[in-house]
Amino acid sequence: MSRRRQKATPTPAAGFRVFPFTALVGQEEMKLGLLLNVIDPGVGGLLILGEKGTGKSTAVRALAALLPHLPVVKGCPFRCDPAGDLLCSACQEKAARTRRLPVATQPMQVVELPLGVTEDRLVGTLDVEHALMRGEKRFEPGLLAAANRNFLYVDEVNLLEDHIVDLLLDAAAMGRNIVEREGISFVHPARFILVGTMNPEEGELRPQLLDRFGLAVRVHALPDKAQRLEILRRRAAYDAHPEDFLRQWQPEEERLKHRLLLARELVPAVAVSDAILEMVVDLTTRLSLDGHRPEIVTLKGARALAAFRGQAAVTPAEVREVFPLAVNHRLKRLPFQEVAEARRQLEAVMEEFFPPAGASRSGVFAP
Amino acid sequence: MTFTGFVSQGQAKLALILALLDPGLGGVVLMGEKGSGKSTLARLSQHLLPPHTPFIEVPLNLTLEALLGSLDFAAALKTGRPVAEPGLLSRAHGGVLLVDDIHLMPPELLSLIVSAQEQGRVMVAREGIQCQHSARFCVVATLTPEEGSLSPHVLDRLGLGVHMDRLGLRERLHLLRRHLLTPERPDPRGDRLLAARLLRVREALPRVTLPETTRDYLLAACLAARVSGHRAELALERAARAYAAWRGASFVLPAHVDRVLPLVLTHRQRLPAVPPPPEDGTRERPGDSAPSKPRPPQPAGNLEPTHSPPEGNPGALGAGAPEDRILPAGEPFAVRRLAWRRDRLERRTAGRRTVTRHAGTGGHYVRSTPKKPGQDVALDATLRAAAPWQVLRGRRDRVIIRDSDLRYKERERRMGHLVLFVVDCSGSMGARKRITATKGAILSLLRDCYQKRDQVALIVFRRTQAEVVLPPTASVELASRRLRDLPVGGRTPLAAGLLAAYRLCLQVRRREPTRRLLLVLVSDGRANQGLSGLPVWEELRRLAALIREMPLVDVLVVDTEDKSQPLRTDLARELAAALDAPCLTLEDLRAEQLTAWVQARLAGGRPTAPAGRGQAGLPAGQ
Repeated sequence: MSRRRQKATPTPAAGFRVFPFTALVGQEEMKLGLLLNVIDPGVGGLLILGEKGTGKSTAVRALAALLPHLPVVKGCPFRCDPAGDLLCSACQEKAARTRRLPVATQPMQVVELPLGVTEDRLVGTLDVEHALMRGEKRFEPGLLAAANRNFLYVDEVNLLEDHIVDLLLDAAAMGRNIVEREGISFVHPARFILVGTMNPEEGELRPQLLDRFGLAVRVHALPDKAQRLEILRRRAAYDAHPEDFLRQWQPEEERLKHRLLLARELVPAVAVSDAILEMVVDLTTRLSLDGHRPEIVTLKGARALAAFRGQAAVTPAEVREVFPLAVNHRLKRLPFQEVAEARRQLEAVMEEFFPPAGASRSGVFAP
Repeated sequence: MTFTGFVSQGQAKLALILALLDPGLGGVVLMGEKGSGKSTLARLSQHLLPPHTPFIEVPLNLTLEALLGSLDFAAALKTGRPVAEPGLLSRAHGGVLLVDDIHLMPPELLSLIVSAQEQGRVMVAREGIQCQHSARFCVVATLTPEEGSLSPHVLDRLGLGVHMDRLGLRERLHLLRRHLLTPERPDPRGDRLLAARLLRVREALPRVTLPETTRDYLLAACLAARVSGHRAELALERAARAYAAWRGASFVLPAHVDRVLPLVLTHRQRLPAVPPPPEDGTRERPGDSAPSKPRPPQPAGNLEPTHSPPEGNPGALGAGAPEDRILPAGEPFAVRRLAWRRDRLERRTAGRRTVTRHAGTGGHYVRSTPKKPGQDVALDATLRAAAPWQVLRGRRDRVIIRDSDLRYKERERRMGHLVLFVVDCSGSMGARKRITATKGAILSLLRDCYQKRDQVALIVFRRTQAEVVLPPTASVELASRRLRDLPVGGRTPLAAGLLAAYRLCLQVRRREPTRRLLLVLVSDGRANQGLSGLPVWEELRRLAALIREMPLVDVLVVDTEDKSQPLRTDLARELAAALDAPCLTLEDLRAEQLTAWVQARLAGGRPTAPAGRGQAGLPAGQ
C-alpha cells in the first residue's frame, strides 16, 4: 500500500465547501465519539481503528466546519483563549502590559500531522530566517501550536516514530507545549481534540499510548446495501450541485450545532448518581483494566451524552453506549492475547450488566 | 486540583514532602502504572513551594545545550563577546526540577541531571563558555515501570522512591466524583497551610538530632536489606530526620526510621533480603525470618502476571517461603576469555563501537557536534559558534557564517549489544542442582560481556511471576551478585518469563532501535503456570511467535533437563522449535561451547553447532 498523500495543513474550514456532517451515512459510533469530544473535551480524544475509505477524515472535517468560531487573542499564532487560564508566553507579557487583550474570531480547523513529521516541526523551533537575517532569537511555532483549540488529526498514528508519539501525547496530556531546545525556551497552550486513526493490521501502538486516547471506535465499510446506495446518492448530489446540497442540509446542520452548544452548557448540570459511579467501577473492575482513565472517560462521555439528550441525569443507558468506546482499545492487556478473546470478554460483561431486554440500541441522533 | 485534595496516595505525598523539606535527600521518583495519577501529583507539589520558587519542567524535546546552558547568540551578536545563557539545571536552582516520564529521557541527559543534583552545581565548558552555576534543586520524577526502567546507577541517586497505591472502592468513587466537577473550584487553603508548615519545618530541620541508638538501628536496617553502597544509608538518615522534623520531634526515633524505610528501599532493593549462601551451598534455607524489616511494597520493574492466581503473596519472588533455596554458582571456566578475545578483534573490524548511527534525520536531537560533516546542520549551535566573531567579520545585518562555524545535530541512535538472560528459577531447576552449573556458565558469559562492554540484563521467573532483577546494565558486578543470590523454588511461570523478556526487548528497541539483542533462555521447559487462563502451551506458542517476529533479536535456548532421567520430556526443545532457536542441552553446556555460540551470534555470524573447542586461537593477552 502506498504512503498517504499529504493533505493540506491546516485546512481552513471557512470559505471551503465541506460535506455536511449530518449528511454522513452510518458510522454511528464514530460520530458519537466525535460529538462527545466536542461536548466535553475532557473526554480526551478519539482513536479510530479501521480501514481506509470509511469517511474518517471527512467526518472530522465536517464536524469542524459545523462548529461556531472561536474567540482568540488577535494576532496570536497560538490562538490563545482571551478568557482562558493558560496563555502563551507572548500573550502573558501582553496581558501584563495592557489590561485587555484584543479579541478576534477564527473558525475551528483540522490540523493534520503528516507521517514523516520531525521533532522540530512538531514542537516548534528556532526561526531560521529571523536568526540569520537579524541575529535574533524567535520561536517558530510548530504543529502543536497550530493545533491549539483545534482538531489535531493524526492519520496512522501507529506509523509515527516512537519519540514523536511520545512528544505528541505528552503535550496532549499536559495541555501545553514546553520547548527547551535550540536556544529557545517557550511555553504555549496546546489543547486540542486529538483524533488518531490506525489500521491495527499495520502495527500496534504501545498500550501506554493507546491509553492516552480517551475513546476508541472501530469502523468498517458498511455491510448494508441500502446504506451504501444512499452514500453514493448523496455524494453524487453533492458533487453535482454542492450549493444546493448544502442548502438542503443547512437546517439539519443548524439543529445539530445548537444541540451541541446547548449540551456543552448543560454538561456541568447533569447529575451523576452514586449508583452510576459504582456501576462504572464495577464494569472496569470486572475487566481488570489498568488505571483510572477508563472510568473517568466513561463517566465524562456518559455525562456528555446525557447532556446531548437533554437529560438531567446520567442513566445506565448512556453508560452502556459509551463504555465500549472507552475500553475498546484498553481490553488487550497481554501482547499475545487476541483481540477477539478480549472482545468476547467485553461482550459477556456487557450482557451481564445490561441484559438484552429487547431494547434496541438507539442511534446518536435519537432524542 | 490541589495537593491536599488529591485522593489517597499518602506514601507518595509523604515522599514528596520529605524530598521538598530536604533537597539534599536527592529527590523522589513516583512509580506507577499508566493513569495512576503520578504526573498529576508530581505537578501538584508545586503548590507546596513558597511563591517564586523555580519549578522547572524538563520536556522530552530537551537538548543537551538547553539542559546545561549555552551561549546566548542573540546577546553575543549584539555585544560581540560570548554571553552565557543559563540552562534548565541552573534555572532550577533553589527549586524543583520535574522530570516526567524519566524512563523516556535520553540516558546521557539523565546522568547529567543526577550528577548536577548530587554536586549542587553544573559546570559548562562548551562553545567558548566556561563557567559554573549553582544548581541545588530537588528532582521530582515519574516512572512507568512497564514502559521502561532506569539503570540502578540512576535510581540509586534518587533519594526516595514510591509506588502509587491501588485505590480501594471508596477512594475510587471519591476520585471519580472529583473528576466530574466542572469547572473545578479547588480550595487552595489546604495547600497553603501545608506550604507554610513545610517552611516552618524546614527551619526546624537542622535542630533535629539523631541519637546514636537510632543510627545503629538505621544501619542495621540497611544491612538487613542488603543494599549496595552507602547512598541508601545517607538517604535513610536524611529521610528519617526530615520525617522526625515533620512530626515535630526533636530526636529521630526508630519509629521514624521504620516509617521512611520503604521510601528509601523500594527503588534500590531488587532482590529479596537473604543471607549469603552457605559454604556447601545446597543446604535448605528456612526462609528469611531473621531480618524482620518491613519489606518494600513491590520491587521496581516487577512484572506481575495479570491474572495471577489468588494465592496472595504479592511479592511472590521474594524470599520467605520454606521451599526457597540458594544454590551457588559453579566456577567460571578459564578458557572462555580466549574465545572472547578473538571476538573482540572481529568486532573492532566490524566497527561496532560507533555511538551513533548514520546521520539520518530521525531520532531525537540530543546535542550538537562540530565533527561529522553531514547534512543535518544544527542552526542554533552554528549561530552560537559564529556569534562572537561577527564584529571582527564586519557584520552589517546578515549573520556571517563561515565553514568553521558549522555544527551538526547528533541524534540519539546508539549501537551495541544487549545479552538478555531469562533464567528459570523454579523448583524443578533446583531439584537436580543443575542450576549450579548453569549459574556458572551464565556468570562467565556475564564477565565476558562486560569485557566486551556489552550490556546485560537478567530476568528470572519462578512461582507465579517473572521479574527483571537486573535492567540493562554494564555492571557485571551487579549482575553476577544478583545471579549468585537467586533463590530457587516454586512453580514454572515460563510464559511470564517470556513476556517479561518480550517487553524488555520492546523497551530497548524503542529507545535504541538499532540495538542487537540476544535472548538466552535457560529452562527445562516444564511450564506449569500460565498468565491469562489460556492453556499454558498455547500462551507459550503465541509469545514465541511474537518474539520470533522481532527484528534484530536472536534467541538461544539452554535446556537444563537431566537427559539421563527416564522421564525426560524435551519440552525445552519444543519451545526452542517454536522460537525458531537453537537448543543446547545442559550436557552440551560446557561453558566454552556456550560462549562460542554466543560469540558467533554477536559477531553476526552463523550459529555454528556447538561442536568443538579450539576456536580460541589468540593468546589470552593480559
